[in-house]
Amino acid sequence: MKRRALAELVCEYVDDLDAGMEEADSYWEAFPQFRADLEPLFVLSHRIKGTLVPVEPSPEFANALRSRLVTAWYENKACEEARNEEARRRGWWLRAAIVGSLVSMAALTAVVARSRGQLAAVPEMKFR
Amino acid sequence: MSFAESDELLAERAKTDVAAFGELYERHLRRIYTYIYHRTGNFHDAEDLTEKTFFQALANLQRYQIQAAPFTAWLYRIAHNIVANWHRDSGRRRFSQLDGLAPLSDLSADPVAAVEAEEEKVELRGAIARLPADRQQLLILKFVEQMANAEIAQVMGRTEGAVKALLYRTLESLKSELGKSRDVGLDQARRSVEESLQRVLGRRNEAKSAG
Repeated sequence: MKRRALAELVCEYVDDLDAGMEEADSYWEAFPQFRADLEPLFVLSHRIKGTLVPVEPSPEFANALRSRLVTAWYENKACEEARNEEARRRGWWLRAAIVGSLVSMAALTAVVARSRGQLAAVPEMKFR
Repeated sequence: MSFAESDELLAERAKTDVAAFGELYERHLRRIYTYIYHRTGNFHDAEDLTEKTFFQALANLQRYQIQAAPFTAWLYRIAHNIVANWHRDSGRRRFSQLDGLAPLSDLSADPVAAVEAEEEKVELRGAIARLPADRQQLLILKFVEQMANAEIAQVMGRTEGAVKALLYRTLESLKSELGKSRDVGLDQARRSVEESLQRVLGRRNEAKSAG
């Protein structure tokens, strides 16, 4: 329970630091019972804030990387379009193959039906 | 009044619009670079891994889905994985002290204080670098990127409560680590003073006996 309260208060204090407010006194007034636990952590948070600072990439690096990424973006796009085109072509071939198969089946069925019909039409031979 | 387009919508647009991708890059370059710099400790590797991060993001952009994760969280995860692989591939290479950062300020005003302050920073950076990767990540996201706990939770794949608890535990362990190293430092200093005294006394005794 106490640990959870301490964790909440530490997080709040770090948020205060981020917002540029560095008043620990309000915490001591509100939570005097936690002061001994919190004070070293607040001091440490302050030190971390002063030590871990944002850094800027060099403009040369930023510009060079940007142009490489833009080139790569266009290459990716071209590859993707080629892939899509290939998939579309493959789709047409597949559809043509299916239609061809269906036509062949239909033709075969028609031929078979017709030949059966002709057989049925042949008059019965009479043997003496 | 103009509203900035959200990262997520921009990412959707970047799938078909190179300008949108450029905008995303501009928005996130400094943050990703800073994050990687603090995880690797030098500019050269920071540039190298930042480049890898953005190229990987570009390669996977078509698969990015708004519903799955915010764009920032998605990008940080890529960066985190790349840094983790870098640490693994480089044979548990030691973190090198941050190069070129924070020149000794106000040397003219109080050189001793400036040197001491710098030494404290070096000590703290070393202690942070010895923390597990997730704790380093948390400190950078919280203290440098000033992210809200909810955002950090999304990046790290944890709950907000877990992030708060981890921050508390991280500060606690850092505090004890720094206390330990300070004790070791004091012991070493005490020992070297004692050794120096022994040498001086020994030399004085030798001089006395020779005289």
